[in-house]
Amino acid sequence: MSNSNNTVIMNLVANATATNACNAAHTPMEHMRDAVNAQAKKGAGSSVALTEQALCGLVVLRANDAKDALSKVLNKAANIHLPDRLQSAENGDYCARWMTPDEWLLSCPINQAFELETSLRSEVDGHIAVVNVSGGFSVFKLSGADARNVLRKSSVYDVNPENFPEGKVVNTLLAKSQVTLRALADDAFEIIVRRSFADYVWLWLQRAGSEYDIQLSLLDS
Amino acid sequence: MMSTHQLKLQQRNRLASGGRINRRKPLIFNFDGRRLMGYEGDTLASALLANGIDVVGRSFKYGRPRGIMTAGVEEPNAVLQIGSTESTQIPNVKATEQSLYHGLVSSPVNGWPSADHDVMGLFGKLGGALMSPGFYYKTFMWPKSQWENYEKFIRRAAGLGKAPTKPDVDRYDHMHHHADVMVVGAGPSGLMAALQASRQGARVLLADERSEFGGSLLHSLERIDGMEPMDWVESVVNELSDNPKVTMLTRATVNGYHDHNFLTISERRTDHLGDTSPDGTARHRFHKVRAGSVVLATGAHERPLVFANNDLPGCMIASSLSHYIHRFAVVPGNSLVLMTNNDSAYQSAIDWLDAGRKVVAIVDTRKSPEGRVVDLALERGIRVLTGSVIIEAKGRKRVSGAVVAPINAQGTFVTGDTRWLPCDTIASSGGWSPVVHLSCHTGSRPVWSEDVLGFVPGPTTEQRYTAGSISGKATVNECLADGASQGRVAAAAAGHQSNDDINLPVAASGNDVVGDTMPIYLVPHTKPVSRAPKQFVDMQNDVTAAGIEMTTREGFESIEHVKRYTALGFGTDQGKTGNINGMAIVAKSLNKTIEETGTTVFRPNYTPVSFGVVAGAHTDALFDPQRFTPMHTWHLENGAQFENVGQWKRPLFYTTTGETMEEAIAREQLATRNNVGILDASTLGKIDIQGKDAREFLGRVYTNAWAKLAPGRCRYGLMCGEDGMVMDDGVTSCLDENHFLMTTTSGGAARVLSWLEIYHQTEWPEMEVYFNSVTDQWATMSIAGPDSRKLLASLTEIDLSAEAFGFMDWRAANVAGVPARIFRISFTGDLSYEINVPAQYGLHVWKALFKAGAEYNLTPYGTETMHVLRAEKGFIIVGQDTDGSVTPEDLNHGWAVANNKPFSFIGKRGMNRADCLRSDRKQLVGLLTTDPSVNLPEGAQAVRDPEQEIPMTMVGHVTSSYHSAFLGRRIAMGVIKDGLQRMGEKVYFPLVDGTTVEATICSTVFLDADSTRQKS
Repeated sequence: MSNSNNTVIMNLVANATATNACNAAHTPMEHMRDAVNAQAKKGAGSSVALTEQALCGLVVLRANDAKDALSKVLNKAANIHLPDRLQSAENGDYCARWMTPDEWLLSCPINQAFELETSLRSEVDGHIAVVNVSGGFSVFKLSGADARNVLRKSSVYDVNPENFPEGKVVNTLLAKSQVTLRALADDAFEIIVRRSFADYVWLWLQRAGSEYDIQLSLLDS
Repeated sequence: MMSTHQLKLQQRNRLASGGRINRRKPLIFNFDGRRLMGYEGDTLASALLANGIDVVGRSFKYGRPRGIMTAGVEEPNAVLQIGSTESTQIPNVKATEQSLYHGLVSSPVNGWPSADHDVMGLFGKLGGALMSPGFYYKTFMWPKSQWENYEKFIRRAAGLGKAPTKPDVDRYDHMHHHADVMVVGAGPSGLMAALQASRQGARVLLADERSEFGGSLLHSLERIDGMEPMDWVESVVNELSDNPKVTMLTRATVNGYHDHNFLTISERRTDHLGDTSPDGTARHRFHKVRAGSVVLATGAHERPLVFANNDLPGCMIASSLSHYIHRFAVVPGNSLVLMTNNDSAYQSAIDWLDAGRKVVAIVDTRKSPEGRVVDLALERGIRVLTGSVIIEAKGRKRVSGAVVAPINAQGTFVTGDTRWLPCDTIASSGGWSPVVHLSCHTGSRPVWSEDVLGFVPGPTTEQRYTAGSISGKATVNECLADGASQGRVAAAAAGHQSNDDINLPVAASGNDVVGDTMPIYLVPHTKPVSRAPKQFVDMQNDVTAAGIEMTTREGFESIEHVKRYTALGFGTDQGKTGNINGMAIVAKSLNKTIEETGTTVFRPNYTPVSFGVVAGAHTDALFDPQRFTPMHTWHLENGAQFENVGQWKRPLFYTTTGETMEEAIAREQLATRNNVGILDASTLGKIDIQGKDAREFLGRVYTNAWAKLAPGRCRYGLMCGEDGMVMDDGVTSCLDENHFLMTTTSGGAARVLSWLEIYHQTEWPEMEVYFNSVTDQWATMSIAGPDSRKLLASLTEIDLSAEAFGFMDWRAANVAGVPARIFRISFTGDLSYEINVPAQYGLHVWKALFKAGAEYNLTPYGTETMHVLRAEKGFIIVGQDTDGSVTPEDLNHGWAVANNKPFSFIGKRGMNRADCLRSDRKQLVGLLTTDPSVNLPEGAQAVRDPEQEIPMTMVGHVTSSYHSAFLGRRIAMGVIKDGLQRMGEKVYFPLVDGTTVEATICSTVFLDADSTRQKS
């Protein structure tokens, strides 16, 4: 077998240099894009919008005792600390979401994911795990005056503003799929769903929002 | 056909003015084949009464004509079938609950062949004495074998409505709410409770079953704070709707009150607009509410008094008269005799008189009633007969008179001569029964109150409050005050305290002096109960006073037994009008008090709900999540037929030319064995494992050894439960010294991850290891066949030679320009590479492989071909060749068990139990049929002696069976007792069609036993 330096490199998958340039990447909703965008541009009746966000980098961070060390390195790299229970920490394109007592989900520009993964793993001394899952999820944004009502139709979680203020993160069920839900503003929410469930969640939200004349849009990837 | 004007004139009971109806919006509807007119704001019941429809159905058992009796959900008689098309049929709709809409089509559910010529009516007349309580138990149960035939006849004749035969065209959905205070009922008490709680800052949800808020105020004349009652309601609703923390629901019945203040509400959103939802939105919505505090302001149902022939159309509940007059401008008759044991019913007679109709008399059971309303009635010149009762109603299809007689002070017998009062309407009031149903749902038993003469909610463990007439409050002022104070404590208990004074509205009540209610339920007749004409207790189930008495004579003493024997309180109305009267009759005939007799309790739902609303949006494509791989669109475009694997949609096989499944999978097999095939394996479970103890952890959860697996290498692992039985398998690769990638079966991914976490968190928390699911992160494509190396070489730069990249190695590389992990592992027994790329690149790489693979005839294959190919090589499928009772040794996989590991592993003890060490256990072997073309069905049982007498000794069964296109014959695997020691022996499979298949036990490896293909 090759030397250990090589194995370290081997277990990390570098983003293809051509990521941004080539159209090699596909989002799970792409098969709907033409149909969805063709019937978009609804009138003023719409009080909720559902948008698939562009592909971004997503990195799972795990730590217990080494949490502070990990937080320090993260702060150096992205100018954010690991947030506390049910919170998120955001700085520009970087956002860390508390997931469980020893887990965070970090989003970043997609071309930064590999670099972040490498530097966090090499610079933190202690028992941590760093997993690049950029391809494993879809990110939706649900916004508008009736966004909370769409969530009420979809999730058992208490999304009233006093319980679910801006910045809060919960892992809960949306219909029958697990999702990570974050309040972006009073009327805007981020929904992160496992890629293979994206189609189901999208169709569910589309139906739940139909009474509010939901406006759908799929971004070019 | 009648003109609109004629239809309007048909409404002979409609008052010229008044009511909360919109006379500019006439609605044409159909009842039992007749065209009729009503107005927007009507219920179906008020519209039928406006048109003078007396008979709306036939009774369940005796087929007696029945009319509308109440104005609310307690209605026992007016149960109709509605719907204009086959897919919108709704059985058992209460006309009193159903809002009228244009084009509504309705018909009676009881009455066959028609309501006017009714078979059961004749039966009831002849069989009055025959059809005693327990009649069905006694008669139709014998002979037992005939019950099914009897039941068909009885159901058809009795009529229980008709289910739609076509799919529902409407949509339904659910909505979750979290409230500090949930208020049930929006009468004066509920409105004040909601108002007070909201003023204290609580998040409030207020729901009411009617189309508008107000409760009893909908038909009241009592001014509140100087306003008309409904103007006051409007002012409250306005204040509540200005508060963003208040949610109000009308047409929303709180149907269930479950543990921990979880309540379910069925909201009928479009039933008042038409047969189907007009705009495609949800017809019904199921609200699921988690509340801090609950205020039950559900009010009370007025109960009738029980007298002879009290089921004649024209016999109604007293308060329903006021309801129809004030809310709908409908007076359901001309001349009224009203019987009461309390003050509240007097208002109905006054309202009747004020509507311009005749009040023949008020018959008061009390010797000397003293309430203020009695004076009001007398002042208006209404004749009041005190100490008297209506013992019997006269008439055929409508009341034509009342037989009145004086009674003793206890109301137990008639003391003087009867007299005849001609009338067409008899109203009665036997007092008010608090609506305790919801409070019962949580297991709280109601308690009898002598003050209320009714059951009131009992103690509860929930944070629950009651306000208004559910607690026995009798006047509007009492209800307003109770609502405010209960709203205050409910909000405070949910964390919203206030010390501000309560701003309490005042009703200008004429009822402030309220006389006592007389405890009387069954009105005496001049004849004994058993001889008097039928005195109905439960109209919907045709339960009579005589029937209840007979039941107690037959020895039924528990109220629960009486209920089941007589059917008292069954049906769609759940005995809302009849229960208390029935209990009082049971108590009297047992010489007990009502308190001693006790009550039956209620469970959800309060009123019937649609199946649709329970299902919500979880139907059709949204019934269960469908998981798709990144290459799904390609599969769709290329003729894939799918199968469900867990929630995944996996291609089963591909066909574009109209070939059969058999032809398609034969083609896929041969292309793979001879050239190269490709399988979408993205659904395989993948778990990323990191940490310095990762390797040791693998050694503990897998049966085999992991200590020496070097980075860059892969190994097959078997996972067992504590019992030593195989539960999952898969290949795990060493990415780095402390970093592994485990794969699991597609269906087992979540279970295995939980398994690892459970052991880590509960047994070995000291181990430094993290598990993360990366199933969705990687698109996985497996190329297999002799040309797979050449194909892959055209898309990657790394050295694929057998020397540089051996079997069970993995390498990082770029494939088609994107980063990939390539695993040289095989589930076909052929040269094979499993390419993993981040999911967003999956489709790109898949298409690139096809572009490059054209010259090798790259052929996509599905799970069926995968099954055949793996079986040719003897690879197992956990869950197909295993069933939870199979050890690694049973699978001849002893090579994958390392008994000498320093730390034990899960299943080690289990698989070393004496029973698991027997040599004659069922063991996995290959099976070759003597006739190579005959199908050995999966599941077929094996015997050693096909001539043995039945029952034969069964020695195992077939687990996998296929036609192998490459080998040109059928192959099978099965578990056979002692099979591994019996290679070459014959076993026999007697099939259900009488034939017997002969097969020879052989190795499970049918192809390439020395593995030259996969190692080439």
